[in-house]
Amino acid sequence: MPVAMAAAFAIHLVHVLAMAVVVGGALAGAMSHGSRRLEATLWAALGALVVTGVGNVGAYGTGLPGTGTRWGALLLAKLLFVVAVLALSLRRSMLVWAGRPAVVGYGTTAALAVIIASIGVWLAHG
Amino acid sequence: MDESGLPAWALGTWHAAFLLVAFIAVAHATGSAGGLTADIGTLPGILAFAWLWAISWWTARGVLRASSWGRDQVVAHVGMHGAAAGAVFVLGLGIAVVLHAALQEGDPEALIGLPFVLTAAGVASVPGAVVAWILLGIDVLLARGIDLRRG
Repeated sequence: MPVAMAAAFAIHLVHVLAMAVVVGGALAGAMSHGSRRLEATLWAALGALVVTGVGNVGAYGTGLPGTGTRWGALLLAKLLFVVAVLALSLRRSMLVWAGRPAVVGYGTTAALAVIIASIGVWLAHG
Repeated sequence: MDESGLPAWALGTWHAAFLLVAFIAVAHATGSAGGLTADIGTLPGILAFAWLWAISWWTARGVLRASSWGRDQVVAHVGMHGAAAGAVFVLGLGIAVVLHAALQEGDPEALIGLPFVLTAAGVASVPGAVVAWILLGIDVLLARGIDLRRG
């Protein structure tokens, strides 16, 4: 397997696994009221998700469709949802630090992550 | 990671991830994301993000030590850490680019670029401080109604 193809495969794999950790971790947090350890894991997964996501965008190079196309507009929407889930995650983490319930935060994180994953699947096959 | 390290880990990751996604979103909206990411390349891009992530984590650790100070002191402290972070980020990237050109591409004249890297790092301290203050404002907004001293 050529190096470039192996790198692209590894980036895709880490991206999908990180999303699985975010969705699964958020659902687990919603059912167990979360913990600092879970928060640390979720942030590691979110960081990996972002960097591999940008790596996936980079694979399109100059052929990346613009926001005037449906594909490009959906990519922009996905990026805005990612900003939203990052901001919401910080507030959820702060609630956990303060010892307050964060069930709604975990539930919303899981819902937003599923929306982001759905857009990602559409982008990969659209 | 021990439990006391979580706030810095979360804040540092949030800042690095937010900056990267916001940068890509603006670049995509203006039609330059494809060219930018193609120019940077996958591995250098990942290494640059790892560098930004490490600096953001270090900065968050420093800033959190001042969280019990007065408002003006916190703002000044955040500005100083942001300026240092901006300078260190550009310094690291610049040195990597110059050394790559000198060693990998066999162009020793590239080392002439080192003084320019130092100058660019100094200049980067200004946007570094501004970005840090913007992030502080967002963090404060997100923390509204939460007493973090109870954690």
